[in-house]
Amino acid sequence: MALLGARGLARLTALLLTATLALAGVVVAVFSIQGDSSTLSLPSLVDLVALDALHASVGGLLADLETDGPVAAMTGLAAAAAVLLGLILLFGVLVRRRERLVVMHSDADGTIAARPRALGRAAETLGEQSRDVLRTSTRTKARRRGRGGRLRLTVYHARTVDGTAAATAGRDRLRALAGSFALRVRVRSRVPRRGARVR
Amino acid sequence: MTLDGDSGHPVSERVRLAGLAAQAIAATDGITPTRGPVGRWQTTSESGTVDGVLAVEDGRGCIELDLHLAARWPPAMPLQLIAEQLRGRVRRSAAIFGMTQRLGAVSVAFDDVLAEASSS
Repeated sequence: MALLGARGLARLTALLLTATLALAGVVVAVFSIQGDSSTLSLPSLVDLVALDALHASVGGLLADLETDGPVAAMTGLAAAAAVLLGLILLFGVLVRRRERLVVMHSDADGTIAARPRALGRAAETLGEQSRDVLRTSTRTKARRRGRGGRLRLTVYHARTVDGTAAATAGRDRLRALAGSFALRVRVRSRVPRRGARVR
Repeated sequence: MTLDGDSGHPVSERVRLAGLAAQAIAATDGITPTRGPVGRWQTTSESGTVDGVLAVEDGRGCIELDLHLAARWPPAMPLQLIAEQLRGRVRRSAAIFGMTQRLGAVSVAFDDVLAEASSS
């Protein structure tokens, strides 16, 4: 759970930082169109975002930091929080999530299991055995504890084919696989979007 | 320790059991060992690497084997039967070489499927 939170925070931060960087790049590019002190010039941008005032306030903060006081203490706390946030972001970026296996059988002699992706590929192969099916896609998740998991098969078929029949046929083909791995199967049928590629 | 027949290097029981598991995988129809995206699932020693087998010695002196496989799909028999057959082969091999006491849990993971072109 902590890892998921850290990963989410890392992704959000990366998104915000890249968006901010892109926006800043666009603004600088636009304000580089003209020179001197015209409207779309860099000196004009400096005036617009009040960089002089910011420089003055940062200078004041740095001066306060050099002396003991509440500002220095607060800044120290903020720096510690920034380090902690950095560590959480590193954790979210670098630590890999272990993929859970779909357990078929487990006892003292060992476990028999399969990777969700492998089961998904197996289900896609079974689903595509029907002539009426153009292609399939799957989403498989293992249960947190114990045997089994969930498998969702999407069957893409031509407009001329009955979707309910295609879904039922797909479910029938998955019956043995679902039974052996204790999978809860959900099959849905779809007509591919116009222009979508068919493998 | 024993000597490896091919290279003459001393081989620990852990590596010996990994080798026996690899032989059992090779003798079982419909499966091939897979060593994972960055070679995580292999046992390495001076005499070479055993792909698809992770042999780990636990704190009680037992060696646990994790067998990582790619199965031919659709399989000729149910995957559970293939796995049970494979585990039986590994345990029989360990018994023949007098390593039953050292062999702990033998786990089987199907990490990939090798789909055959369907004719229907």
